[in-house]
Amino acid sequence: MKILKQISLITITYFLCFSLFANHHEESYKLEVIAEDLSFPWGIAFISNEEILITEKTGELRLISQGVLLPEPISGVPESLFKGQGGLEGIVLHPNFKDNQYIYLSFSETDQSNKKLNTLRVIRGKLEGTSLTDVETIFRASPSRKTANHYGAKMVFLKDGTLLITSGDGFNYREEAQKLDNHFGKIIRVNDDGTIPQDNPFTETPGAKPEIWSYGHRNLQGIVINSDGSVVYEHEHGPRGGDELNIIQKGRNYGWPAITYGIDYNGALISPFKEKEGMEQPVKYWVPSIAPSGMTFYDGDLFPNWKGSLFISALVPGDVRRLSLEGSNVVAEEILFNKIGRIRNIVSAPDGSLVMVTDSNKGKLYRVTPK
Amino acid sequence: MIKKILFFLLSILLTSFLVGAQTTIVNLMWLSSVEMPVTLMIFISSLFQDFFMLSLSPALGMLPIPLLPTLILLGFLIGFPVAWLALKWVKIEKKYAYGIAGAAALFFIVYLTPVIFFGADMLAGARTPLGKVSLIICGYVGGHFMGSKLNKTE
Repeated sequence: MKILKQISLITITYFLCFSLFANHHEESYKLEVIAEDLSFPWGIAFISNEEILITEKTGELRLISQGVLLPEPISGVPESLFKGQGGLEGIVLHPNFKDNQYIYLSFSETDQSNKKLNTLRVIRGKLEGTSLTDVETIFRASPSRKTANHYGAKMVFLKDGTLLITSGDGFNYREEAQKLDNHFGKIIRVNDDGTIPQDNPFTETPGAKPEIWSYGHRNLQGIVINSDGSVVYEHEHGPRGGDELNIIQKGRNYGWPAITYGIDYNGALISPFKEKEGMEQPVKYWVPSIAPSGMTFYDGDLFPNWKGSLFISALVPGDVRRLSLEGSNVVAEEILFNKIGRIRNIVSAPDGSLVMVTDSNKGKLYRVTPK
Repeated sequence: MIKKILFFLLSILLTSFLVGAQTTIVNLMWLSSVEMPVTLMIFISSLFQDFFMLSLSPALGMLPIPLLPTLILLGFLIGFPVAWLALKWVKIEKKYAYGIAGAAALFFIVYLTPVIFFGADMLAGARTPLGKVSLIICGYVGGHFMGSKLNKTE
């Protein structure tokens, strides 16, 4: 009888502790919807904590000001091709945005010389009120493709003021990712005006596109730098399995499709090889796939426990992965925000909160703050 | 009747195996061209793995049935009855009529898939004109097998 009482006591204490811990964990943050009815929201950029720019894949650039989604989109945005995985996608502000008002947009567009083809284009323009002016092309991926898949289209400014642009493999052109004479499956590096930096790795290589910074990529939908700008993190969708988180270094080959941890969607092998000398290994990979769709390096103060973590939004099954880092190693993975559906992107706000959007024709913008 | 059904299923499996083999060969040829160490053992194991994954394993996230044989089955279910009807008016050997029907089935699979997937070819081996032709030949071989077996049973 005494033993039974003791067991009961231990069991009750265990469940009490567990539920207290669980509640504490759940209640460490709160989710607040700050905008809704967004049409396939994709890119997010903060002008200030109260002013947020959002791209909608359907082709419009929206502004949220003082917590209100302005009904009219920003005018002057070039027409994009909303088809398949294409549309108006990436957005980034110039590091000196306050002085020059430049914003950079990436999108898919129809090839004007052959309307059956399309490509990835990056422009910059000046944001004056609710208009985009002085639009100029910064980069256009070459050659064009017939598919409307795998554009990449993410961007980040490095500390030296150059811009990295991710350019996907176009699905049908995966082998091109191993060649240097095209932009499929590459990370591109250009100056803020689109000119090519002299210290790019392949400027002296005959036949190579001089904009290339790294190659051997698939569909790269996350690229960020850490707080001091010394490390570039990139993630890319694998096929069926094999999503990767990589640390990007100048001139390196990341292996796709010669080495991969994934197989084709139909089950066929893409490559029986997972590693090869001269090809970089991911710092982390996911089998099965999580469909990584966006990433931010958290350096805010609102969540001290999360400082220095990478947050990766995932479309499948729909959550955010917080990766704890020690040096360049991922030492832990925590699943967060897994009850709001497919998450298209996540960014850190200036005030240290996290902001993310859901992938839907009625997409929502959420802000995550401490409870 | 049971024999006919068996031959029908075998023709699907044969076509599926050939399509898988074409995928394996296309992938390994490219890997070899970029100096990946493709050996005979890797070729054989890849061939079997592709056959197993493409022809016998359920497709991920879709119906719990192998996708490629299902597509081929649908194609043959349309093509073979058309060949059977055509043989009533056209004087041609069964194996050729069914072969053409099999080729037509693969033709539609190869050319319709990109329409559904925004230009993307879901069979890696179908991304080039030569690849498309070789897959259509796979369909022909499957149909030819069916036709020649029907000839023998009747």
